[in-house]
Amino acid sequence: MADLSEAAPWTSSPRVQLALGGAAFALVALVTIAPVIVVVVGAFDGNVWRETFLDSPYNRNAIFYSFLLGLRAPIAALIGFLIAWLLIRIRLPGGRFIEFAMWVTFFIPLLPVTLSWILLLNPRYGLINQLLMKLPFVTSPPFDIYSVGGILWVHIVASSVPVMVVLLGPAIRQLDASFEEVGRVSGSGPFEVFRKITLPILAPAILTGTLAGFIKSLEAFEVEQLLGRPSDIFVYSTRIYDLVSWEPPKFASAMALSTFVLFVLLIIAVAYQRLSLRSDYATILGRGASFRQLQIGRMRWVVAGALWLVVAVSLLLPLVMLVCGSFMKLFGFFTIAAPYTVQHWRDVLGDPTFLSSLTNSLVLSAGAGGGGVLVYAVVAYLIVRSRLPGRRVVDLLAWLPWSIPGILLGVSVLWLILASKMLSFLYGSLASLVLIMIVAQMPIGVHMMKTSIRQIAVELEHSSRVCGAGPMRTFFAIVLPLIRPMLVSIFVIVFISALRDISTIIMLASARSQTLSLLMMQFASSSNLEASAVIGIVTTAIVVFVALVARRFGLQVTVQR
Amino acid sequence: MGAAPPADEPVLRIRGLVKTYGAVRAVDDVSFDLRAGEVLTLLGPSGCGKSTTLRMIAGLEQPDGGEVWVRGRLVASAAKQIMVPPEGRKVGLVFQSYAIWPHMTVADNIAYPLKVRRIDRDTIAAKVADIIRLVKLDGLAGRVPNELSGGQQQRVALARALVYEPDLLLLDEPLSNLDSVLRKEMRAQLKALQSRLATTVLYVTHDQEEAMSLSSRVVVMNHGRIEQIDAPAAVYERPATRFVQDFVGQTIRLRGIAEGDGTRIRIGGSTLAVREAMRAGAAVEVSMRPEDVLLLSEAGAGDSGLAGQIVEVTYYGDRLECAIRIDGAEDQMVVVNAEKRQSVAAGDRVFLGIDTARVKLWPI
Repeated sequence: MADLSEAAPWTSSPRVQLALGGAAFALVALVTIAPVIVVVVGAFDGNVWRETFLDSPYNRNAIFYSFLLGLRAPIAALIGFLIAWLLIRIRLPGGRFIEFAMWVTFFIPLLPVTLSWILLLNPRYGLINQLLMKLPFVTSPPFDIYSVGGILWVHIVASSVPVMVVLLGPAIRQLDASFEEVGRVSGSGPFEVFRKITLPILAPAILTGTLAGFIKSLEAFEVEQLLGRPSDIFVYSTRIYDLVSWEPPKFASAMALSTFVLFVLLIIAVAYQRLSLRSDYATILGRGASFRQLQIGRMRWVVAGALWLVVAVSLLLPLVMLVCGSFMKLFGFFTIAAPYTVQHWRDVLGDPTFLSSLTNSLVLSAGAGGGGVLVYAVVAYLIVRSRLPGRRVVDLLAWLPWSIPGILLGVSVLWLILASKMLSFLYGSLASLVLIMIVAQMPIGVHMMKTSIRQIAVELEHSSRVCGAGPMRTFFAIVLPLIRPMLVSIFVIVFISALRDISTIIMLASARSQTLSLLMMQFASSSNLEASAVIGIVTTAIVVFVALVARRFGLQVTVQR
Repeated sequence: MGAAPPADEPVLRIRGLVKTYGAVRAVDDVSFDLRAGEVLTLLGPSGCGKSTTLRMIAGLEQPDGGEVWVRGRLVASAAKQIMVPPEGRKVGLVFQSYAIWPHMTVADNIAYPLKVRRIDRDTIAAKVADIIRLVKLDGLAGRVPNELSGGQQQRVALARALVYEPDLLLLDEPLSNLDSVLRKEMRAQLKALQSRLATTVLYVTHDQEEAMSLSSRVVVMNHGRIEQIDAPAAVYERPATRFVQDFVGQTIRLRGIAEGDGTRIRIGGSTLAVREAMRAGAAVEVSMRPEDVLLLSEAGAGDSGLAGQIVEVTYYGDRLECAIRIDGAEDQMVVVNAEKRQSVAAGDRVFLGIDTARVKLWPI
């Protein structure tokens, strides 16, 4: 019998492996650090700091409003935590659906929702304003969406609170029920236990969520662009957009402004990292045993009613209004004769730009999702399992884009493309959008992959090696199939993010790489809100469909692991 | 087999193997040879370095010192900076956790090492079918691992490690995840399989019964060092160190002082005549196996001269255990087995019949 073990198994030499791993690490370092360097270096150009901060009240105002609007983070953290706790700990009628609705709200693009709120709260034709005006003693429209309050409202309802519910849910689930049970046995009622035990234990998690929310609030772009601009409210991101859209672009000022924001973000991000380590510790202490949900008698109808109202306001109402708006002759004018028409649908769907934008969007989303999954898996695997030098540094660097606002990333990459001959072929291309989305989503992608890879028993890989497979083969034949549910989840997250993204890609896209989200933004900015609503519905439909698929897989992940 | 190595060349040779973790020497100067067809067991408590040794042989850990040779080929050497990766070593490995890939069927798991070696489809199918029959997994080829029992998973792991006919099979506590009944059964199957295939096996376990019943030779390890390498019987009957005696089998111990020509050990009020001579006046520990001590109800033939009083009798189903306080040595208590038909009760005076030829003395 032939000696099978003599057959030389394919394997690359350790030196080749080291080189490949090193190249992967170098690439991560490059794409994460380069934007920061571009921004900081670009900011030191003559008197630019003086010009940017002392001479221009617009820039100072932008900073002021950015931080003022960041206040939504603590507000949303508290509301979100309360909702998450109620949903998880109390048996509520329709509780599962409420949770699911929060989840969907979390995924729906912001721009279409903003359009809906314009329909409702526009000072001239807003439906709610008009209804309230019919009341006696109300002589002027009570609400104005084009204000700090309006921007805060849209953010809190449509994104900040649902994000917090989704983020804080796991922390609450992990909390060992025995902490609360001991409190009950010691003689406290359920709400006293909540106040004196649950809240303090989870305080670090809530604070972490607040910081994360604050960092993310500086990313926001489209809502501010649409709602702030009419009443001269600029934030950091919209101001940068203006500075770079200038002819010629005021890159230096944009970079100076960005450097300042980056500096602030860095401080918060470091605080966030330290805190999140501690809060992980605090919550993982418990064994996460399943617990009995609290019974609160008739009160549950009151609580459920309140949460149903939240869902109605944050999800159902905007969706209905969006559909209405897309069929209106004149956006917002419900009272004219025969207000409805299908003309906008016909116009938009018949427009070749729509089709090319849809194609671009799908290519961008699928490309970023597919490419991202592979890149994140390789990087995460090398961080978790390899003994390559510098893997800790790369671990930190992979997280860096998380604290860089999309518009800043876009500006710096645009600058790189314009400044270097080698990269100029990327100018305005769809490929550049794919690349920047992969970088932008790297933090969450790599983080989730790491978690998943750590759960694989290392023996499964060792067995493969001893059986004769090299590291590459082991990675593709054993590791990737084992984390398949996670690959799907990450693909979906990146897909949806790329589909709805505006701020990261708006600087880089050109007419030929126009996406649906950018087309929607363009329509909205040029006051063609009806067409924008049509695209908003299409985008939302794709997102919700993909999110539903993701939930399928997401549920499988939780059952399996 | 292809080019057969010279008959006297060991399949595995390790020399001066060292592995350190920080200040801890997990494996400290370990050397032994493993000859073709032999089953060598690394036996020791957890943390003794036996698994680390096995992992260095498999190529999963890099030695900090020493060399590993497989079939005359140097596969790891700290001094020469040689480190052949696991896939280049032609060894098979079964983990304690089995490490069956959950995303593959039984057949796919077993075929994997052959696919990696680019063997043609038909040969793979034939070999997989053969080995499945050999390990008695008939009819389970299409199952996925979580549909299998522990014993079946264990056999899949074994089949996967054997199917490519490695030079050496490494088994890392392969039976310790099974319940005791299954463990006995699998032990017998493993033994039958090994003698049929004449595979060379390195077996790692902390279970002395497995070590005794499966191996041709046993390497007893403690704190990263080898205490003794010997045939199972020799390890049990003639332990080289006190650790080996304590770790392998049960031990009854008494403390005493050597007297006269050193062959008389005074324990409390009586003396015990032994064969070994110790220096007179030395404090010694007298150790013996439980089966070498009989409980006698009256002095007479076979009586060693040691007597005492039963303090407590514990019932164990198949036997009784009597805790006995030795006369004149009230601080010493020995626990001796009694047969159930012996009528013993707390407070009884008893005499110890000791097979003095089999007693071991250790200086303390």
